[in-house]
This record gives sequence, structure tokens and C-alpha cells, in this order.
Amino acid sequence: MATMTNTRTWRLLPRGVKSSLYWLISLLILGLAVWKHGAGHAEQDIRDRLQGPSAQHWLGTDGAGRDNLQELLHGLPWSVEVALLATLIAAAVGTVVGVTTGWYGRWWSRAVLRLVDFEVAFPFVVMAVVLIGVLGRGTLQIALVLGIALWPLVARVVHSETLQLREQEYVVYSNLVWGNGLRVIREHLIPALLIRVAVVSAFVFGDVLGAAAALSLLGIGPSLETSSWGNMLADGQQYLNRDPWIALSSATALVMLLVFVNMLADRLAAAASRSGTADTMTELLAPAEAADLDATGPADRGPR
Amino acid sequence: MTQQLSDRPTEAAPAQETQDPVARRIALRLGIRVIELVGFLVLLVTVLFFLARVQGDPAVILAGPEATPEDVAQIRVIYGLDSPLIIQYLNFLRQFLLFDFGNSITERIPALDLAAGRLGTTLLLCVIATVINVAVATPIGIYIGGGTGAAAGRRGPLRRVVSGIVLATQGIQYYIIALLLITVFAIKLQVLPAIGFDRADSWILPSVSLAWLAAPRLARVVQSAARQVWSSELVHTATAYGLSPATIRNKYVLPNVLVPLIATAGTQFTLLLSGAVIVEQLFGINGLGQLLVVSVQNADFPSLAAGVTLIGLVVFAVTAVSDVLYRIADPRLRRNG
Amino acid sequence: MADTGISTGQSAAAVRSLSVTYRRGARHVYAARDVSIDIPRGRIVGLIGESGAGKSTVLRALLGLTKPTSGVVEIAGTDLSTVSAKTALALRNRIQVVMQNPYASLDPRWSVADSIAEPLRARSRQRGSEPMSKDAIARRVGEMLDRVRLPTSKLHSFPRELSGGERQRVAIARALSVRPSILVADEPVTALDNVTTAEILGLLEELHAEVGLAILIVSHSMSVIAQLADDVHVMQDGRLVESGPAESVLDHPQHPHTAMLIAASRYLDEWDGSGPELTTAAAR
Repeated sequence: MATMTNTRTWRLLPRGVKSSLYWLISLLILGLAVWKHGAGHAEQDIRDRLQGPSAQHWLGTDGAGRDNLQELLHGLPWSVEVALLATLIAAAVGTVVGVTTGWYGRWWSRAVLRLVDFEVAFPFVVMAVVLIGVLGRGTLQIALVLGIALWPLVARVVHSETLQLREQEYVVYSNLVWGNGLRVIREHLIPALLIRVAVVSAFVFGDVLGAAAALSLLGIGPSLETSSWGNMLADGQQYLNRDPWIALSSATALVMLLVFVNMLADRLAAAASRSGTADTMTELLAPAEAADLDATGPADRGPR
Repeated sequence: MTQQLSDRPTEAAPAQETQDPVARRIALRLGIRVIELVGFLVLLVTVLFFLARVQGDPAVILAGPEATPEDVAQIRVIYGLDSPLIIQYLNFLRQFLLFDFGNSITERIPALDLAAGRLGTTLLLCVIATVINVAVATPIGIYIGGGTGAAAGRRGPLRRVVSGIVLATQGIQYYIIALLLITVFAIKLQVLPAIGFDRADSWILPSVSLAWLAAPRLARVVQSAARQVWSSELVHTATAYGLSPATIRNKYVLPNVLVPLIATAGTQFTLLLSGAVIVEQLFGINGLGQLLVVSVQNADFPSLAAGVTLIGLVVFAVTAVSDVLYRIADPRLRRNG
Repeated sequence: MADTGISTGQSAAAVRSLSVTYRRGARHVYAARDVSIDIPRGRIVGLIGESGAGKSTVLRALLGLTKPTSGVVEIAGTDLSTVSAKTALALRNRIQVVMQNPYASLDPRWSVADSIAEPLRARSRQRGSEPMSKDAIARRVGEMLDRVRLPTSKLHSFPRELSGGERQRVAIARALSVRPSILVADEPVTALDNVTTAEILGLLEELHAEVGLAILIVSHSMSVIAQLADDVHVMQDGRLVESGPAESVLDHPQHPHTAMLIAASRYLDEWDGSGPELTTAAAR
């Protein structure tokens, strides 16, 4: 029954969401293609270090004599991997906490929410710096720390959405017949929340990409053996006065990726709010009118 | 939740209702906030304490790299590191609540003094960035947020270009702007220093970079608030009465934009504190953020705890102040208390 | 349903001396005060009152959505607070509900078939009741669709493709799929226009005659109550002000509030002009 519902959910998705998902998938495929370059650095040739762009090295070379373009391709997998992991952690924890605090409104859920408030109010770079300091600089640790720093964003959205869903009559009814909150959460709430979580996650994904690079600038990013755009940027910062091409190429790549991700997130958000309008808002606002115009026939007058 | 708490009447003797009820409610709210803050900080330093213990033996770190095992054993006794972990934790907690973090491991002075000394620089950086943020974002937001008079609904080409630029700037990370500013103004033109924060001209690049973090978002908040006012019945009526667009802007749009402006700028201070950590690193500024980064690298637990606590206090104070300002600026809240 | 030692009387469900209070500041406010309503087997009971009179509170207490401050909720003559949780759940299973807003009572992501099947699936998962196969559920869903006179073609429609009246039919089919002995209808026609109202009320009446269901219908509209109810209870400010058989309450109201509600409803019906004829014509 659950899978049946899921394919239906897919069919119901508005076009904008679908095309955004296709974009996301093509991004992942790009990531996979780049993955084949392996996790290490590009080949280095110390005699060729700190060169500007040339026919041989389109974007120049870095402080260790590595080709900047090659290094960008080598660095992308790490950045995407960490961002995906951290986003997954944030989305999973945020959804679970948001739904449970929204559904079971007891004292402990209020306490958890206060904690969320404080974590949101607390500068997250400070939090990340401190946690990485004690946890270490491995890929998993960095992803975990960024996930911990950003889950409250997801939790807040999911929580307020759950509070609204909880009052919906179909949810009240479902709770009556099942007498089991977990079941209602699984069958009605999670499917209803998915689009919203996807939208927040897209924004979180962008935040994580930016933050991971910032950690490298602070000298607490991934170890220098790891190839990442943040490490490249930090390297470029060192040689800013002798050879700005390292910083320039990595910064441009990062900005382009972030703009792309934010664009996706914006489109996803717009599409989601449109679908919200079609499903609930128009119908809730004009039920009498809808019934008046057409009492027997189908009343599909969504703006599609 | 705070809403709920403040809605609940206070259980007090009705006989002595001499105090202003509004002031009392604010005091109560503030009291609850303080308790919550202390709880949060305790939780945070507790996590820190145990994670730090998992990571390494503090006695070894304290003794330094050239210490003999005998030295380490001696330090263990001196610092009470030979007692059970839970006792050590309770001792630490007691000292923490008394604001005693012990000596910094690298600097050998009280960690709190060290952190407090750095706080001023960071605050100055953030305050200047906030000023730039508000000074830049408000006019831009008002400009792109609505036309004047008959053109209220329409958006001219220039307006559209500006709002496009605002949107684009949001995608460029502030640390990349910092690198760009350093390259252009410090390395190529050599008109501004790239390092430090001691002279007025050295304030410019770091503050502008940091303000970049917040300004696009603030401009968009102001924009949408202004647009709402411009398309409201109130403005339509005022226009019908023949008030000039400039009068409408000053009398209706600006006051209504003020409330979201203050609320956003207040929450953005947290964002700026985050960004300050990175900006301080890029410009070699000896602020609190630098202290935290260096402490993490040196496993200097006392400095770390002191720095985090101070930042928590700053966030709390800023939230409280912007809360009060917000209440003063919003006429509805002012009346209802 | 297997015999669980539940006493069998003439009452399908009842609330006795029910009070529900909530706190507003330091004061306790009564949402319902000492309300007793009996829903006898096979009868239609109407509960009427203005908005905020406490109708919904009584209903919520009956459904177990609100905990009574004092008083008793009975199903099939058994006080729910005196039996085990398991027995209470089994008893609660006998009540089904049709909600007020047909535009919110169906999950927009679920097809008609999925929605009608939900209580069946829930029931078949419960301990003590025999599980139903997927086929059996599908068969029962088809049956129910027929029962509420919806074409089979609507089986895989989504709520947004249905009119308000059709949605309410789906809600009724969903409620009756598990063969409840009591149906609670919370303002079932408030969101609907006149023609659809007549259709839905007619359908409820038919189903009642077919399966001998006890129905509690909550409404603020006297004409809805007058058309269906055998017994009428009138609420005002959380209290029951008048109870009795429909004819006597409607023809000889004892309490001024009842008289006022009747007068108001007459006034509206006449003022509405085309309203009453259309309603009666369509109901036939």
C-alpha cells in the first residue's frame, strides 16, 4: 500500500518539481563522472608550479605544480560527498525531531525546541570549529559536524508544518482509526512533508558546500592530502600575491556551483508552494463556490 | 513557547500590584531566558568536556611535548586529573558556573581574561559590519521594493537590474569577496592594508566582506516589506488624498519597514559572529574567532570553553536588545505591552 | 464482533454528566457542563447549538479526542473508564465519524480507494480482529462505493478531482466500510450548497434505514436537524438547555433559546426564497 501511495505521489508532483529533480540527478551523474578521477590529487610537477594559464594548463598550476583544472575535477567529489552526507544527516535528524516534537507536544518536545532555538541563535561556524576540534578532521567527522550544525533548520520547518498537518481533518481521522501515532506519521505526515524537506535540504546542501570550503580556510578542513575545493581556495589564499589564478579558479568554480544549487533550491521552493496552492489553498478558500458551480461533475479547477 | 510562558499570568500576591505589569512580564521573560541560556551553555561545555577527554589526555597536553612520564604524573596530581572523571567533571562544572575556566594552556593567563580581551575586536568588527549592512541594504531594499505614486506597481528597467544584482550577490560567498578585496585593494592597488584591525583604514576590507554575508538577505527582507506597504489599502487611500510619494514613503513605508529590519538585523548578528571567525582568519585579526580556531588547533580546552561562553552571552544580549527595540518599533506590540 | 463481556442495552452510546473545562489564564472555562446525551440503537439524534455552544466538545469527548474533566463516556452501555485499554479500543471501533470539511477530511495524496480502505486496513491490523486480505479489502471498497452511489470510475480519482458532495460521499463510505454501530456526523453539510446538502442528507437517511445505524448528527442548522433527527438536544454556552423527541422540541420548544433558533432558521429559509423548495424537491 505504501509503495502504491508513493508512485501516486510521484504522479501528483507538479512539473517544476520533477524537472528540478531531473536536474539534481544530472548533477549527481556529473559528480559520479568526476568521481572516476579518484580521491587523490592531480599529478604534480614541481618545476611547473605557480604558472598562469597556458595551452598546457588552461587555468594555470598551483603551489605544488598541479594543474588547476585537473585539481578542480579531483576536488569536486569530496565536496559533493561531504555536502550530501551532511545534508542527509541534517534532513534525517531534522525530520525525525520536527515530526515527533510537532506530533507529541509534551514538555520534552518543548525542551527540544528550545535547544533548537538556541542552536539556531548560536553562530554555527563557532559550533563547527569547536566540534571539529574535538572530533577530528576526517570526512565523516566534518559531515557529521556540519549536519549537527544545520539540522535545526530542517527541524523548525518540519515542526511548524507538522503542527498544521496535525489539525487537518484527514490526519485527525487517521489517528482515530489507527490509534497509533507512528502509523499516522508514516502514512500521512511523511509523504506530506517530503516536498518541504526536499526544499530545505536543497538550501542546506548549498550552505554545507560553502561552509565546508570555509573550514579549509580556517585550517580545520579536510587534511591536506585530501583534494577539495576548500583546500584549493586556502592554497590560493597563500599565493594570492604571486599567483591569483589558484584562488580565482577555485572561487569561480565554487560560486558557479553555489549559484546553480541555489537556483535549483529556488525552483524547487517555487514549485512546492505552487503545488501547495493547487492542492489545498484554492480548495480551502473557495469550497462553497466550487460546489455551487458543479455539484455532480468533477471539480478539478486547479491552475494547471 | 516564550509566547505561552508570557501569556500565563504570574502567580503573585494581588495585594501589592505596585509594579508596572509590563515591566514585570519583561523581567520574568528575561529571567526565563537567562535560565535557559545557562542550561544551554552547561549542556554545550559538558559535551565539550567529555569529547575533549575522549580525544586526549589533558595532562599530556598540559605537560607539553618534551615532558617525561614523571612530569605528566606530577601535573596529573596538581590539576586534580587523578580523581575519577565524574569528580573532575563536577569540579569543572562548579568552576564554570563561577566563571572560572582556569588558565589558557598556550598563553598561561586566565582563559576568561584572554577571551574577554579578544571580544572587543570581534564586537567592533561585527558592529561596523552591521552598520554597513543596514546602511547599504535599507536604501537598496526600499528602492527595489516599490515605485512611487502611479508607478507603485510597476518596476522600471533600472529597478529590475538592481534587484537582479542583489539576487546574484547572495550567491557569492563573503570569504570569496574578502579574497577579491584583498587582491584588488591590498595587492594590486595597495591602498588598504590586508592584515590587522588596529587602524581605521584596516577596518574597511574586513567589515565590508563581513557585511556582504548579511546585506543581500536584509535588502530582500526590506524589499518585500516595502512592497507590502506600497500595495496596501493604507497607501492607496493616502494617494487618493493627494499625499506626495515622498511623504507616503517617509510616513508609512519607512516606519513599517523598520520592524522587520530590526528583527532581521538582530538575528543576522549571529550570522556575522559566524562569519567573523572566517574573516578574522583571512585578515589575520586577533579576535575571538581566531582565539577559538587557535585553541582548537592547540587543544586549549579552557580558552575554548571561555570563548564559547562569551559568544553565548553576546548572542543572548543581542537577542534581548533587538527584542526590546522590536517592541518599541512595532506600534501594536507597544500598546499591548 | 466477539463477545467481550460488554453489556447489551438499548443505548448505543452516551455521555453522562459530561464536563470539560480548559484554562484560560487563571480561570477555568467550561466548554461543556454537565451534559448528558443518549444515543439509542438505530435512532438519529440531533445536537444543535450556535457556534461555540459546546457541540464539538461533546463530540470530541465521545470520539476520545478530548479527555472529560468529569463525567462518563459510554459505548454499548459500558463506561469506557472502567474497562481495559484493549476493550475500550474495541468499543471505540464501533464509532465512526464523518468530518465537517470534505475539503480537508481526505488526504490529497490518496486516491478514493486508498481513503476508503484506510479504516479497513487499520481494523485488520488490530489485535483480536481477523486480518483482511488485500482482495477482501478491495471488494469491500467497491461495495461501499456502490452503497454511496459513486461510479466505479471514481475509484482511482484523487480528492481534487471530486466535488464537495462526492468527497462527502467518500467520507461516508469510508466511515461505514467497517460496519460501525454508531455514526457521528460533525456538521456534515455545512460546507455544501443546498442541492448537495439535500443529497447527502437523503443518503444518510437511506443508509440509516438500510443498516439500522445509530447516528449522532451535529449541526447549527435547525432545518438539517428537523429533516433527519428522531431526538433533539439543544446546547447553549456549554449546557444542555433542552432535550426530547424531535416533534415535541421543534413544535413546542420549552426553552427560549430553542424557540429563538427555530425562529432564526424559519426567517432564513423564507428570506432565502428559492432555498426550501429546491431542498425538498431534490431530497425526493
